[in-house]
Amino acid sequence: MALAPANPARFATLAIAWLAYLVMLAPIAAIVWLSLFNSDIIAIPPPGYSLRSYHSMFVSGDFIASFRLSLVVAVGATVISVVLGTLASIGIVRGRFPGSGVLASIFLAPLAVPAVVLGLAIYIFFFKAGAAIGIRIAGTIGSLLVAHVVLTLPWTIRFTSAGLATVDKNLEDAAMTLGAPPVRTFWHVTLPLMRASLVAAAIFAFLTSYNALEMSLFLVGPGMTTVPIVLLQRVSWNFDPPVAAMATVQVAISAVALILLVRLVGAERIFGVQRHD
Amino acid sequence: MASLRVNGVTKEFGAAAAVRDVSFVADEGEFVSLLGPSGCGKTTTLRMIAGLLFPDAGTIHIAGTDVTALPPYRRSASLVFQNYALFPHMTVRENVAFGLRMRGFAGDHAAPRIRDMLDLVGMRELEGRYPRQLSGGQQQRVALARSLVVQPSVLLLDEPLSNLDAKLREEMRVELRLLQQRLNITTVFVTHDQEEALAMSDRVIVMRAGSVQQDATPTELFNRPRTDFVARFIGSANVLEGTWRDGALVSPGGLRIRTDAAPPGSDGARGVVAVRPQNVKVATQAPLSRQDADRLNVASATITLASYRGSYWLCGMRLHSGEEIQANVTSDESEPNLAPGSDVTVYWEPRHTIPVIPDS
Repeated sequence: MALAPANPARFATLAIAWLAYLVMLAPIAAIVWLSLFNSDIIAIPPPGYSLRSYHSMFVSGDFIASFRLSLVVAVGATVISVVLGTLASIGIVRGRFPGSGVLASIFLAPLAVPAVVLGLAIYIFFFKAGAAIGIRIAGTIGSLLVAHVVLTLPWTIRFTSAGLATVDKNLEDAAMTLGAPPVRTFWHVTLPLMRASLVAAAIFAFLTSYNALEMSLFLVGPGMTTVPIVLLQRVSWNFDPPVAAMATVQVAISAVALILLVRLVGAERIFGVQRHD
Repeated sequence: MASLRVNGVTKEFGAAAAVRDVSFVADEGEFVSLLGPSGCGKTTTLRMIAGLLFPDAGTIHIAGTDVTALPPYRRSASLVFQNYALFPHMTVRENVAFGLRMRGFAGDHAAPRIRDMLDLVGMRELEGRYPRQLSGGQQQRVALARSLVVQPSVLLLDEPLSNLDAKLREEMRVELRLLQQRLNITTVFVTHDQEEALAMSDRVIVMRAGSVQQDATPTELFNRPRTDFVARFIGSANVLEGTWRDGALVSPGGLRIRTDAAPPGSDGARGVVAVRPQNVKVATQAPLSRQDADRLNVASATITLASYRGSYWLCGMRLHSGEEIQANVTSDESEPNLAPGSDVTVYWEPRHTIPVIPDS
């Protein structure tokens, strides 16, 4: 569509939109650019371009270890918080008991607490609890997983509740009059109809956990760090093309997840925007 | 044997009683309608029979078994919903197969039953489609097939025709009734459409504000409404009020209304009678003979409204004694002379005056 000169308001809107895209995307483009430098230090203009930073990243043990840990924790937290979120949404959406509204707010409360505070609180809790029962909890992979479930659960509850609310209660009633007990009704009717919101919840939980930095800071132990923390440590010491390569991989994984989310669920459902056709 | 016995069922939501002491019986193969305006408790009653709600008092028996406390999946009653509630993620065939699958019939055992049922409702060719690809009438057929394939003791229908357009609704009425008779399945049908209830049912139960007003066959209901409400609700009868005196009802305006029926009240008691518009005659020219005038209910009136309804004219009149009355004037080819403002004589036979129980 050609821009009509008679419509300056529309032109201004588009200009601002493109400027916003530029501000958001330029740093990412810069990181990708830096990661391709054929050099150990950042020097502009670069001496040349190569994939040597990526190679050194993949042979470095600490990156592979942190990548594996991030993945294990993110996948684990995703599975647990989608299952818990789905169960919670049944209570919130379908249950009618006194205090269900309050409960729904409590489930979303972690969103209101800064992740640093949440991380510190969980660390102190695990430390004290561990000391009380004589088992080390703080600094274990289990403690990190639990913390990430706390971080992701409010999001999965949001998505699964919204998804369940769109499932016509009559469909469940129909299934029950046709002989399906509640669990089978949920499995054969409700759950398949919530699929889009389950996918959205899972991808969103994965992204939240995989990129979590502040909360994890307190909870990782020696020799057990996640990718964002490795990145932070490396950057505070020295910013070089291998770090840019790690950042690029991190961005790529998030981008793939986001593209999947939009393709499978649709942007309008994620942002709650009505599309006018 | 009664397929369904509802006995003294009561359901309260908060402080308000949605259904109060409702009892009725449906015999095997009988088509029973629950008829009433919205909020009368008919759907609540139906949902209690299905097991989706549990009564606060009373019992429900299906095929001789007390199911009052049983969950829906352990009762032999399937419900067809107003919006059909077809499973959108399943094909027509999968929808119909669902109930059999849940009851442990699958594969070779279920296939012939599903096929026969799809044939019966004429949806065999579309068995691979999804509900969103079907018209309202087709969805309706699938919903029926899905409920019938499990061979329930009682088929429950919650306003299943109300989402269809007028023409299709008429067709589905006939189709549904024929299907019901062919399968000889006990059916409870909830509707707010009196015409639908009269056309389809063996028996109609008129409900109002949670209670049963009358339980009768369609003809009985139409010809002998028990209450003021039923008379108005079924076929919109003229309802005239007055005081019983010497076997006739005397209106406040002095009109003496004769009836063949025994007056329900003693002299001086307040009373209400109903007269069907199709039984009220309108004489525009020739005065009635003396004999007729002595025998019939006769009143002079002024036409206030004449509305053409195809097979008849709906004629609204104000009697000179003050009452409003409506008559259905059957029209042959010539247009009757029913100009508003003209004076006419109205009359009807005493046997068409039906004493009813007044609204309290």
